Amino acid sequence: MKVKFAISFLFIFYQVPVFAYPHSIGFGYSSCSSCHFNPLGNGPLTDYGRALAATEIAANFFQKDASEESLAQNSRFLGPFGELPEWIRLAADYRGMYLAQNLQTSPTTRWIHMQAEGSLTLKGMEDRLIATGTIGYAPVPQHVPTSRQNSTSTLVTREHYIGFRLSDQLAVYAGLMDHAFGIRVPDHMAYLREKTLTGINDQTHGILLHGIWDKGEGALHLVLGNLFQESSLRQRGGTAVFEYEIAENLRVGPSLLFTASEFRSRQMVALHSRIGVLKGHSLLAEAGLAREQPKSKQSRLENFLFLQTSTRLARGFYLLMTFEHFSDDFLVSGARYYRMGPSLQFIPGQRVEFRSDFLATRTRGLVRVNPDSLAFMTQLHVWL
Amino acid sequence: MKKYPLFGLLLMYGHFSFAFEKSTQLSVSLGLSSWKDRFSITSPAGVSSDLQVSTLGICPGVSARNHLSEIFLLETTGFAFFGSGDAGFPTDQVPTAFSYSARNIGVFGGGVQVLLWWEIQENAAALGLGMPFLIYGASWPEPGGGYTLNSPNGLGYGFLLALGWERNHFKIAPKMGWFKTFSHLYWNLEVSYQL
Repeated sequence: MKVKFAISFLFIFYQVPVFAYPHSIGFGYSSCSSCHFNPLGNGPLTDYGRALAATEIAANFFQKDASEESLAQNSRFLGPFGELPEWIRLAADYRGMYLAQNLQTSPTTRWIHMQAEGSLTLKGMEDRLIATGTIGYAPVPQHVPTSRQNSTSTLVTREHYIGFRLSDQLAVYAGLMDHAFGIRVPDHMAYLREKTLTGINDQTHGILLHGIWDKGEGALHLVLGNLFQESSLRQRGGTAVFEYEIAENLRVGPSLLFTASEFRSRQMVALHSRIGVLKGHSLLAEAGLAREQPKSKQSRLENFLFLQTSTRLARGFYLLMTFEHFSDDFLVSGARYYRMGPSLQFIPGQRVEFRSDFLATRTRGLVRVNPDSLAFMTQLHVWL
Repeated sequence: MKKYPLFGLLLMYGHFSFAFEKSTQLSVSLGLSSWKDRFSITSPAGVSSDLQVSTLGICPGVSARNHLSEIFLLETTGFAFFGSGDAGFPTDQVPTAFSYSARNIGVFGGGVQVLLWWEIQENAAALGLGMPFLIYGASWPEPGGGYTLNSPNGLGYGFLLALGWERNHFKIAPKMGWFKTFSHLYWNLEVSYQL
């Protein structure tokens, strides 16, 4: 408890503690802004976030006799080898995944480098001013034609922004960030992120205003599209997300998105909830509609649903169950996708995480009735 | 495989005998349920081919729960099923001479589900294993041309892994497993309210 108090005092600038995943509401930490420099989660962790992960979320298999103070101290970038100056924070992350697909017919397997990046954060003015940037390697997507694979850059930055806290409740950020929309689950292939175009490589430049108060928080995001893309492709507009705590560890809120480019316009609306129960158990739910209007084609109304429960079996050991639904156009008959499966997440200690997922995808509404598509994934996540 | 219905009957027997000795918690539930199945179609020449069936629907039910011990609970749910089904050949197994496809056909049924819960944290989270016993029927369109459908209505059982998650009187329980064979998945997303 001492370490929590000490870190809370040190980072009084932030109001509510939290861990790297939205499931941290199960530990009583409902806001993202104390554990992440990005107030809506994802991206580099603050010292508080690192300490909390080491002392509460992860098991302590590697340092069984270590005190909480020691675990918190060793969770920093240099670990037991020293400390960086207060104004600079570094991080490095690698996430790789062994993917086995089409288990129902002819299985194919491959290793995917999902994330291999480093980040630098500079802080000033008693932590009221921050500047964060990440840079890393991203493999060339499979859909890129072979003729273009050599010329496609594998260097990627998914975040770079400046943030300034105007008061204890209000902060403004400018730069490349994730869209302020819905729940940021780390399962970036979930329909919730992939089909809503808010996935691992869908960040946008813009200006984000973030507010936090006793019973909730919210953000307005003016988006300019990704400035690394051609101007005609950039989706410009605005997004918003709000969360209100209607009971202890029970938050609900809406999200909105309006964007347009020369080729298409898109509007989305969603309602989400994050609920925590006792120690470490939680539920995330989000449902929404997306209207996609290509310039020269008919619009379509997509719908999506995401539900994930997380059960803490022991410290560092979690069992998840995910249910998802998506349809390309729910107003007309056509394909309907349902995906479900259990996952096991194991964090043996600070800096290492394993996760295995089994997912079955069922497609309905087509002339052919095919077997479910089965996939097994095992992830390794290491970080400094 | 033949042992498993016996296991289910034993669970049910255990449940009902406890029900009269200890207080029973009753709850009402509403679930979204889906499973795969198959039946065959026979040509006039007597050649049979398998059709895949995919169902989806809602299943209102009533559950009774009893503590077997401090951490184990037995839950029996009786439920009805109202939904729709698709039947057709998989893409890679379409016969050259004939095809059959039926979409959004009404499917009705019901069943019993027996679950043994391990309460990881009381009134918060639980992990369950169980068996659904299910009977269902649908009015699949006749194929015509001398072809016939064989045993298109289903009766069977499966196995489930379930996660239960409670807050106040509400419980959400996603469940996933197999129906009849390991190649046919069954899942159920259930919300219940304890009376």
